[in-house]
Amino acid sequence: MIDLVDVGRLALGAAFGTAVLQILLSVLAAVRRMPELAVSARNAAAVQAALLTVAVAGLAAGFLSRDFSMAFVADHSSSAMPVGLTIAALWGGQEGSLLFWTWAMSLFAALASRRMLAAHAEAGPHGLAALSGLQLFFLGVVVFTSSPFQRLVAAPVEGRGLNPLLWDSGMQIHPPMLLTGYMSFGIPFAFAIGMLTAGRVSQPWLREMRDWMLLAWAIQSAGLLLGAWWAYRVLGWGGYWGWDPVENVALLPWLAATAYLHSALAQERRGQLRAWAVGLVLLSYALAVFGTFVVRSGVLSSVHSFALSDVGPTFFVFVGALSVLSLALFVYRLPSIRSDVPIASLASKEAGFLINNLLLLAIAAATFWGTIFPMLTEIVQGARIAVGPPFYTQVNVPLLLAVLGVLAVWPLLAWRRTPPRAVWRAARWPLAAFVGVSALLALLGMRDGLPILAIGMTAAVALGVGLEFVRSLAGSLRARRASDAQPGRYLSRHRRRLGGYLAHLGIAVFALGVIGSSAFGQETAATVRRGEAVRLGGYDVVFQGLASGAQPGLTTVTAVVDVVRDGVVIDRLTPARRIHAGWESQPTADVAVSTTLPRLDDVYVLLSSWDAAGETATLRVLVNPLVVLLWISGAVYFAGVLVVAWPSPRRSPAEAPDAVPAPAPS
Amino acid sequence: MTRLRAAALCALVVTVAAAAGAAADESADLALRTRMWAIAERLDCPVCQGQSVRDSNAQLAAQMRAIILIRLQAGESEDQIMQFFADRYGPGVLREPPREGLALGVWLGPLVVVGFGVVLVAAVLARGRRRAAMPGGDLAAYEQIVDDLRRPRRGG
Repeated sequence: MIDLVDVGRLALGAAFGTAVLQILLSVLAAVRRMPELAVSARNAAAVQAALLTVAVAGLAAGFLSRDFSMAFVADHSSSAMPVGLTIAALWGGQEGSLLFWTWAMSLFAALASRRMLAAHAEAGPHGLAALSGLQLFFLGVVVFTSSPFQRLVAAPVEGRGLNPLLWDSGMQIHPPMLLTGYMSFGIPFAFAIGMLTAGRVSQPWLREMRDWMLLAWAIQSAGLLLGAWWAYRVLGWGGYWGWDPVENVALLPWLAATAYLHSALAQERRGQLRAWAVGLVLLSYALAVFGTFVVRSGVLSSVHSFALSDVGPTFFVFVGALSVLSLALFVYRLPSIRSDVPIASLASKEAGFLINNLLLLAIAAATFWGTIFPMLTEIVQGARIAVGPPFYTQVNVPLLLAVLGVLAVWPLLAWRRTPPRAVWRAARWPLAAFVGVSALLALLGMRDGLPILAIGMTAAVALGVGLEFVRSLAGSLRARRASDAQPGRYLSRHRRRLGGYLAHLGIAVFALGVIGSSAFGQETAATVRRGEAVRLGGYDVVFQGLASGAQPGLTTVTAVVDVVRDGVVIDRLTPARRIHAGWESQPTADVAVSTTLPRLDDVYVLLSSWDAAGETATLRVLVNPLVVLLWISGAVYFAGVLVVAWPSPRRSPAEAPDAVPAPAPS
Repeated sequence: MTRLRAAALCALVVTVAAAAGAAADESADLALRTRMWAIAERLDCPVCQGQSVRDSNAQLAAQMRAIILIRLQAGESEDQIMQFFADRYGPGVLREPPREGLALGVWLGPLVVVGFGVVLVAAVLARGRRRAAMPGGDLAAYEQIVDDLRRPRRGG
């Protein structure tokens, strides 16, 4: 039999050697301007990807063959685990998830290095060198401090198994999505570093950088949304977002990337906010690595435990060096990349981008500050001050409302400057929607100011987006009448703008879901006998009895409850508790949720405890209005992202009057 | 039923924890219980990482919920109850940082950032306006003309 530990170590060692070669070749190619060497470096990136694929396959084979002589396999799986979950255990621990990160990075890098060399002959090797540097660091960590290929002296008969909280199909998709998201911010970062060190840039280079960022941002969006879904359906505490530090740090690069994608538009169309956009690319990756550091280093439990973690100090130095070096490079090149096209008027699209950027960054800054503040107080006075959701909601909700307000009006304005009359023409309908909907809600008896305001704003955003769609459609019809050109041409020319609006619509629907669940959610818990009901929010949750099931290593206790409204049974739910052998102190919850129509309430039932005779049960019941909109908004949002990212047939410059070439920094 | 019994035994931690809460629970009316959950949400569970007393399944959290309910029934105010837990477990138990002492810093941070942002937007716009005011600097007016010529006029 092949020894998987040897295979893995060999593959990782060879990959490390290749990475060293790759960085030497690309630096030499950049400094000496030798394009042949850059081609070799690019090939090295492909070899590295192949070798890491072998290493990952080796680890996966170890899991599948239940090779408990491998420490990582023994620590994170057991023979009771089904195959799908066993594969997912690969990222169930630090060593495996870092290997996964490095592997995914190598695949992206192999592709990105080709595009880099094609996009700019001079900046290409510089970008490739930056990319190599990132790869070398992670590979170094995997090989030297956190290798998943460790042999146990005496192989145990059975593995320790995975934490039961991770026994879920979401485990197969959420963690790799977030790891890939974090990782993929490195590609646009390398593009940015490449153009800064080379001092050269071209339009294709900037487009590539934007496209890679769009990809990273889409992956991170999916990871965040899946995380919310997982928290809601699996972790079983009734919510989907808790301003937990691990969630916060995943949000930070997403916020910076969202800001970048908007300022990149101003960069592309008007040559504005150029340095600003590059700065945001650098910031996104610094925040992504910071997130990994926070999650992996143990600083969350105590700043002192981070010194004990094997990768904490390494990552701390990396994120510090990365930030300082890229900041220094940025400042050094600032005079040459600065845009000299001023933003002349507040009533312009580009001013909207600037304001939205600052609001998003303010949210990021507040979230960052709240996340690190407990660590700071621990260093300063020895005790932690808790910074919990009340802080984040009080600070971020007003900022998010401001984002919605900007979202409702500014996209409808023109570039450069909009005359006051045109501003009024553009803003009156969203304004009317805002006033109308808010007034209607107040008349209907809603008394809480904040949700009234917020729902009015989402209505304004949705109406603004709807109007733009109607106008674009009308434009395409006009185009058909005016000439013999196909109306599809008009739409395809405005494809990215319309996709962006669709994503905005997704954000509005998402906001509505957040408002509904946070402002109107209700919750209770009660112990009931068979046939009795827990009443909440107009629903009766009637306890009908208990059932239990056992399979090797797992006992499940299920409550059967009926959801009744106005005397009619509308759904039967089976909330359960699962007790895994070896994890008795941590029974996991099987949440049962019923989404009601047409009210869009989620009736969310948890089985807390029960008596031995099966006659009574303690149920925790929540009625969460509109949460289902979060998942629907995800579909709208990604439809928009897909429309934006859809590859367009290459147009010659004469056909694309929208593209204003930005002057290249020299 | 034996399997059920075994399972119940396994989940002893949960059962015991909930029992204390449940006993007080049944006699309390919905309004009081709603206030209890609201207070529990503002307290950090001291033995869990990052979970509130409302969301945690830990024994201590269940006991704390029961204490909140008993104190509410005794007519104590929300602030008094929060203070009781803060005295007992330290200020770290409050999920909302106080607006005093060192913790004031966490509140001031975002204010500074937003203030900086407002100044930045104002500065950028002022610079843009100055440029436009310079003799021959009103590129925007020229661009506007080009733009108008290039695009078919929009209806409406």
